[in-house]
Amino acid sequence: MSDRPPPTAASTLSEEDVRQRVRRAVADALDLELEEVDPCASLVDELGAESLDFLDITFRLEDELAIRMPRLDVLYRLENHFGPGVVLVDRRLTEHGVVILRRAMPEIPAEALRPGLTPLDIAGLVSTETFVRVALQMLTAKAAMPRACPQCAALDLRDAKSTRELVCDACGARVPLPDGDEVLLAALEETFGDELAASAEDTAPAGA
Amino acid sequence: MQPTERIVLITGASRGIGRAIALRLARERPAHVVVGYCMDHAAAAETVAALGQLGVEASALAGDLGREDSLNTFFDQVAAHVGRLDVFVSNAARAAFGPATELSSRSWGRTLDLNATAFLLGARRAAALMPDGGRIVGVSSLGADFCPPGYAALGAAKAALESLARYLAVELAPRAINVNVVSGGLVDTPSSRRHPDFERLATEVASRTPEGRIGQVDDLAGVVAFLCGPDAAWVRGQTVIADGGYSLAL
Repeated sequence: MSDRPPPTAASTLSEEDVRQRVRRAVADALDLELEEVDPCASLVDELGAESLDFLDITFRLEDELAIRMPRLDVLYRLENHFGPGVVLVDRRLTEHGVVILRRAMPEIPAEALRPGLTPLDIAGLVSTETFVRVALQMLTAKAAMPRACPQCAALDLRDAKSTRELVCDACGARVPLPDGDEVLLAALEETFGDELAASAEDTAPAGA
Repeated sequence: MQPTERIVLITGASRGIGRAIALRLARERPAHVVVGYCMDHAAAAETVAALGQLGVEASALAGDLGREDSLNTFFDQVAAHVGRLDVFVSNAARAAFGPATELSSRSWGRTLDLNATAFLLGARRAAALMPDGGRIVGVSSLGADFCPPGYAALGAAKAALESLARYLAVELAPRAINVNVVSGGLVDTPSSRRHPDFERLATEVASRTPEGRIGQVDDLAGVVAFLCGPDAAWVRGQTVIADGGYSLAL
C-alpha cells in the first residue's frame, strides 16, 4: 500500500499517476516487484494471478483511490444488460458478444476477442490496463459529484475510506461514492445506446 | 447483558447467510449491528436499511479480512465506531477451488488467510473488545469433514477454524466468552447460485437430504442466534451441524 494519501473528492490524479497506483496495487496483491508488472500483460497467464487475486486487487484499489469499484464481472454485467443468449450461449462468447466486448474493453487487443471464448478465457485477457480503465472511470464519476454537501451545502466533504463514502465535516452527512456497477452500466448505455439494444433484440432467442 | 444492550458484529453480512444472521439477531433488538463486508456496497447498504426497518440501529464497514493489516484496520474502525462488542459472528468466506493435487501454494495460503487466519485474528480482536459473557460464532461447512470435489483448500481452512474454535473456547472460558461454530451443507445463497452447475448440485444434494431440500440461509441463522443467546451459555467449543441430516445419510 502506498504512503500517499488517497485522493479526496476535490483532487484530481493524472492518468499516469492512476496507472502507477494500479500497478502498485497489482504488484502488492500478486507479491511481485513493481517492475515485473507489465501493464498490458495478462494477469492470469503472465503474472500468475488466481481468482482470489481479482477481488484482492479490487479492494486495494478502493482503498488506494477512495473509489467504489464494480463488483460484478463484466460478463455478468453484460448478460444482465443485454439479456440471456446475446453475449454468451452455452457459456461461449457469441459473435455479438465479441462486438460488445471489443467496445466495452478497448484495452484488450481486438484480435484476442473471438467467438467461442469461455468466461475463463476472457478472464485470462484481463490486464493491469483493464483495472486502470475502470479505476479512471470511477475517478471521473467521483470528480463529477457535487462539491457541496447535499444537506448543509458546506464544502467540507472528505473521504471516509471505511465505507467508501464522502462525509461532511460540517453536518456529518454521508454521501455514497458513485457505485462502480452503475457507472459501468451507464457507460454501456452511452457506448451502445439503442444500436445494440436493437440488435440484441434481433439476436436474443425467443422469450429472452 | 440484556439482549437489547448488545453490540453485534457480523462479517460477510451484506448478503446470503451473513445477512440472514444479521436479520435474525435483529429480532433480539440489539443496540447496534455492524455489517462487515468486503465489496458489495449496495448490498451492505440494503442490509443496513433492512435492519433499520426492523428498528435496529446498524452501520456498514468495509474491510478485507484476508490480510492482517487490513483486518487490524477494520477492527480499529469497529472499536472507534461502536466502542465494544458483545457478539462477533465470523461469517466472511472466500476461497480458491480446485483439486488438492493442483492447488498452488499461493491459493492455499490465501484461502487459509481468508478463512482460518481471519477467524483467529478476528476472534482475538473481538474478544479484546468484549466484556465478560461475549459470544463468538464461526461459520463452517461440511467440507471440513467430507470431501466435496474441488473443496480441498476451503475444507481444510474450515477444519482449522473448527479446531481453533475449540482452543479459543477453552482459553476464553474464564471470561465466559463462548466460542462455537455452525456448520452447514449446501445452502441456497447468491454465491452458491453462481456455481455454474448449481441446479444439478442442488437437486442431487436435496435428493440425498432426509428432508428432501437444500439448506436455506435462515436454517443457519437460527442456529447462530441460539449460539449467541443465553440458552447456549453452557455450550462451548462445539461445531453444530445444520444440514437437514444430509451428512447422516452419506
